[in-house]
Amino acid sequence: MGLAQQQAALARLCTDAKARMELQSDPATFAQRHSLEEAEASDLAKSVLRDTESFALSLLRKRHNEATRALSEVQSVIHRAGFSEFAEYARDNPIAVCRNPALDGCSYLSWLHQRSTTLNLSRRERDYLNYTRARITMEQTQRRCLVQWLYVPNSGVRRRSICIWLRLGHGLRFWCI
Amino acid sequence: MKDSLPVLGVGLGYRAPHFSELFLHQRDVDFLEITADHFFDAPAEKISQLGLLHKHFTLIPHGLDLSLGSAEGIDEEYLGKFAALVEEVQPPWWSEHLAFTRAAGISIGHLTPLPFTREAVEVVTRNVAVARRSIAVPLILENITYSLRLPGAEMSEGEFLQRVTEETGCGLLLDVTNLFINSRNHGHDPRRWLDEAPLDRVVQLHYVGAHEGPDQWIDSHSEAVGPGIWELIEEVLQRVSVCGAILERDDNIPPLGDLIPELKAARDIGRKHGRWD
Repeated sequence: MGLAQQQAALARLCTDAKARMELQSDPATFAQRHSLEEAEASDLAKSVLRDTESFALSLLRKRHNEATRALSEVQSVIHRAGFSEFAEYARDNPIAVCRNPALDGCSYLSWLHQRSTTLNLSRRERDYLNYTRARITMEQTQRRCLVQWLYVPNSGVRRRSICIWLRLGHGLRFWCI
Repeated sequence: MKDSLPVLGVGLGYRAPHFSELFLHQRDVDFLEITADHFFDAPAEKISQLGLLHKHFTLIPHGLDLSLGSAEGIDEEYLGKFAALVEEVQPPWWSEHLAFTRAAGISIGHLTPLPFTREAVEVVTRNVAVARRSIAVPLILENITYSLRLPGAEMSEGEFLQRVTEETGCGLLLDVTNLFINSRNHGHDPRRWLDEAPLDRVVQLHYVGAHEGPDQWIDSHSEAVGPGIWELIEEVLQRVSVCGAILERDDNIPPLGDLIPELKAARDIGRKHGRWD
């Protein structure tokens, strides 16, 4: 097995639970899918399969910690959704090529927002998700302007406000009216 | 290569929460290592913060995702962004991991080990040559922690590092904590590892505390430096001169003032062995 095939198989095993199950239960199909000899797939199953399981879990934990660290305003929603929700998100959303944990967190918030009925999120909590997404988008990308009408987390204001983020020269400005 | 590089001393892996405090502690932080990926496609405020840091500190760009061990080659777009950053901050050297993070269109999102084989040496050599075409500044390669032990090893890790640094002409970024963790998790003697590694190539050190989990030691970058790692830093600095050491705390980040004693402790060990003033 050449290095390219080994790396392709490992990359799949480290990021895809179905591939790990396939290697365990049906090494012949796994071998065919990854241009390996059947004996090579069996070798891989014996030598690294168990370790890739724990590697994948530690990778997922790391991604969860890094992504959710940036989401300070919505920690209660994150805790309520739990690690299993993030695992489901991660399964459907592979890591982007240029990694930015804050943007990964932002994309996770979109996922949570789409599942707000299942997660029983209040209108206020949905707004908090939107506010955090807007803040991160403005802080982490080159977007110039964003306007939102929402409840602002930790503001003590009981009504929805107009929030405006505007990039002027080298400074990001924020108004909440 | 090493002889032509400046001795920088002991510095810190730059993390955004420390931005303001850094200017209060300039005398305690000899240089900064910046995570290159955090500045790719960054908004103007982040770039102007980078400019301010560059005015006051020597900055060393450190990559996470160039994937120098990928058999399919490295991503030219990523390399282009890295080259632009290096051009911007004009460092004496830059660094990346001896690992792969991408294969067959999959971004793994984590440093994944290479098998200690001749083919892997050739792949890294080829990829470093490509990187050099865009970035002429000296490159140093970092040893990683690994929980996967890949089959088919043809040599020890020490010999692998020896061959890679010889073939590529790169220096070594010796992560003392990674060495400590691997030695605990895989039951080898770190001193023996040091005997085999190309210590004459070590340009820079990384260190941070490690976390002992239920089954194994974890490279969490979240703890204060413990006695086992201090002993290993002493062992390394006793054996070899280095141009710099970086404390890299990524999680559970305390105020900068709480990290200064760990910088001072490493500086004192180096001074004891005549490694920097």
